[in-house]
Amino acid sequence: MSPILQQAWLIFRKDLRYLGREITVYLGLVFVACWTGLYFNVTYDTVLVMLGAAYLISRLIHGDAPAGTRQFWITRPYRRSSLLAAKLFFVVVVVDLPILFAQWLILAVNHFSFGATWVGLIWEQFLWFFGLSLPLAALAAMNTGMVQFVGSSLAAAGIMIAATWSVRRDLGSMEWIRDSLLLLGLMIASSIVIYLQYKKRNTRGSIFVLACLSGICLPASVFLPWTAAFAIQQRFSPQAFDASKVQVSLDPERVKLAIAMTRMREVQIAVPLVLEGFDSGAKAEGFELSIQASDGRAEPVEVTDVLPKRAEGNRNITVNGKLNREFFDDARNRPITLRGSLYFTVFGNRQSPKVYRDWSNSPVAITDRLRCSAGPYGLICESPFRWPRQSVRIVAWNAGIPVQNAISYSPFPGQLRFFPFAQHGVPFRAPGADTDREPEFLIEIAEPIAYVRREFAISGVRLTDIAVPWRSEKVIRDGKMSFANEY
Amino acid sequence: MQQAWHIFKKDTRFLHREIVLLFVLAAIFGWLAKGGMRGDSDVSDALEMLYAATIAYTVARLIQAEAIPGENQFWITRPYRRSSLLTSKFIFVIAFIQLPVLVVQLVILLLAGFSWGSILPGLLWTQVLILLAVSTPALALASMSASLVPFIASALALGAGGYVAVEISFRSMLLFPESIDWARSAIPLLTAAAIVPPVLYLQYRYRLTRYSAALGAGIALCGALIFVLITGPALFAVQSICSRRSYAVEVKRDPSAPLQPWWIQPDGRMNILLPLLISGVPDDVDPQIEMYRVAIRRADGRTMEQSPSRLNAKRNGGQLTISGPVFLDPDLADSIRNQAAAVRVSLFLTLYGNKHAKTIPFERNPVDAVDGLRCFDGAFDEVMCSAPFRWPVRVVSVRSPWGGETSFTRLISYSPFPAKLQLAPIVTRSAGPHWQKDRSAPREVTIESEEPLAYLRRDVEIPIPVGVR
Repeated sequence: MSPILQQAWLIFRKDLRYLGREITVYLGLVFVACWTGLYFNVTYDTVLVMLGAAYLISRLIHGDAPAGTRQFWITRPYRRSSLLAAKLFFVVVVVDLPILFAQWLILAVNHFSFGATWVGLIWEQFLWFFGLSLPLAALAAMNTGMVQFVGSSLAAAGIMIAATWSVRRDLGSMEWIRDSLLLLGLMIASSIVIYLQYKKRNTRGSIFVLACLSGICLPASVFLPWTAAFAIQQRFSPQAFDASKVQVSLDPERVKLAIAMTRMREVQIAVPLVLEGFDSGAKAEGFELSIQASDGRAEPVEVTDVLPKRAEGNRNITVNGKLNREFFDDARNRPITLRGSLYFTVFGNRQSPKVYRDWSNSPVAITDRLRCSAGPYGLICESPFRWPRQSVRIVAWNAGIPVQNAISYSPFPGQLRFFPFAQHGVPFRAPGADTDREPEFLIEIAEPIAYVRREFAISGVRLTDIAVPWRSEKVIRDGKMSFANEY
Repeated sequence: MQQAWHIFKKDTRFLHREIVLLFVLAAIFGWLAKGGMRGDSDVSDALEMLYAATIAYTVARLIQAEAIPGENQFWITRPYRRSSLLTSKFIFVIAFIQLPVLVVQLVILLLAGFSWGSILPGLLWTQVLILLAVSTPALALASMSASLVPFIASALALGAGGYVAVEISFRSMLLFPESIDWARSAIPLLTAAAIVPPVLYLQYRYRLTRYSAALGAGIALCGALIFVLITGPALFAVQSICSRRSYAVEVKRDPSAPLQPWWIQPDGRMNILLPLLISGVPDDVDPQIEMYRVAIRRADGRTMEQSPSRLNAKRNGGQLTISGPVFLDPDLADSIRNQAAAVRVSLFLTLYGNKHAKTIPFERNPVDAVDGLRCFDGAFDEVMCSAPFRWPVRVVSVRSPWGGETSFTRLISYSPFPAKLQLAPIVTRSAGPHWQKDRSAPREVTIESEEPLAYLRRDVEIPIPVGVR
């Protein structure tokens, strides 16, 4: 064994003895979380394990603190590389490996095979180390003791909460891109800080680097435009898809265009569209729309939402938005052209398995990552580490009911969490449900196969086709009454 | 007192960073709450947790500036009176922890147009709650810890214990209504109130850390056991104390509906059908069934409780029918076949009455309605009402000229206290959209309110029909 590793081993053993009580507290928290996961089927996360990890890591780093001027170890023959190696080894062995073991245990007791979960287990370890342990170690390395560490952690938590609150637009299924950006920033910042602290004990430099990287990464992730997120998402399309095949047109069967005659500076519009050109379902993710008047002037529409919002909806969508009143007043009596870009996800690879009613609630494997049980109270589906990147719907009572509305398009096998599986369900007590007469349930599964942007132009539209009273959702067109946001 | 004031000034200088952090968090919270939090309850919850953690951290730093445990702290050899020391710490808690919350909540509520009379009880009660639930428990724990390291370890251990207690009791919580759960939520606060005074006395009078820790752990354990083991009927008995009137309500078997024989299936399942009659309810009072318990009692006195989750209760005026399957173990099934047995039903009722209403103009700006509520036309064309600190103990509904009568919520807490532990001081509920309103109708709505007057438990025992044996 090299002298560096030998010394690292000695420091590691010293830390094990020195931190006996802290290790007991931390392992106790992991045990409590694991026990509640096993016996109470708790599937939500607990912050207790994370707080315990923060406490232990802080005590570990402060045992030989890089920050400060009076610590004993500077005058000892400690190699800093040995010290760092010992601390990182401790983090992996004492902080992260118990979580791996607890997650494996919960999965094994719930009959998930190791073969189906080992990739997720390793990914979870990666996330725990780079997403939690390393940033905590970096923060502790910049502080001389627990008081400073807790104070700076509280301040950091306040900044993160303020950043979360500042997020103006939820990215929905693409939220993983925002999270990944944050994780990447954390990884880079933590690595640089730890290098600076253990190589040069340069605390001011570390604080400067942290401030700079936070100043870049936090705004970049908080204010990430969804068009940029979609562009990143497009790179993860499992299949190629020819966007030109998709036709976008106004829906002749429904209300064509709804204009709310508000007295405000903006006029609400609702554009019902039909998407054609793909074999399976699609979900509209976003929309950019502008209206071009006959004299060539163009005015952007502030799109407020696209309906339906649920995953893998039908091909008829309604785009709601706001239009500048002056432009509306000018262009209302002349034909206009709708120009826009539609961002949508194409779903495919459909499967239609059946789940039989079983009063013992025994789960049945539906896919390699999903299993469901139909018990006395409803259908419950679960998946290791995260909900699969699939739209899962139960076909019952003449309707398709999503088991989980929000799915993530993340290509990664897990997310940072302690309880290693996601669980969602549909109660059987739906209106009109005659559950006793339905011994089986058909499940429809579809997965995203392409993320597509399609530009389009629809000419010959008249803004004055429909006019509705102020603050009403009703639209009168050709003498018929209907709803503006009907879909 | 002079010495206490000196220590307080010293602590203020010593903890100026923590004080700034507390003020900044209070200001951020006030700013977000004023903007309505944009409906983001996760952010609000996270901020409340962060604020509680910051309070605990500041209190720990405050107390450990003159730590009680240990042998070599400087202040023991100084001419410090322990009463002065404790007084100064309390002054600090009141000045820098309690008062900022009070000021922020007061400003938010006054800006929202609530009157002093409607907000004062809630403001003061919130102060009591923060003191009982956060400040003084942190104070007691910090007085038993020599530094922040054991303080955090103890807090984590207590947090784990609380987490386990909540998880263990979670399933039983599903068996009784949320409206009476406030009585269970009060148990941790009462436990803290029982722990803090003796611990502070022992620590600041005698510095007996081991005895204090043992006493605190013992009382905490008792509190956790009560929290886990308390049943729905016991909580309802606590709730019954809050009854404001008494009624001679009776529950008996409905004589007009003959009892059909019940048959025991080979798997032990027995479908029951119990026709009951609720009588003695005045015309202006509406009874609501909060929960019911069904038990089978054998001739030898042995009883078997049945899960109410599989049973249905249908009420039509004074007539009540409880039906559904009960499951009997083989021994009980055999004995019922061979001996006389009875089914015992316990009904837990809330009687609503004292209906009153107020017609108000329906505007974008909130207008005073009934019971301290302020109602307005919401941003998404909804009928909205706001209340200070908590939704009143009332079933509130709205009647409008363009629609029928809709209720804001029936999920209300029967807690007699004017606030619950939360920083956001305004609660807003919607009675749904009013899209189809008639523009020619007058823009007025009538807000109606009905309050619970009495909480009653009634037991009735009915012999199991002979055909079952």
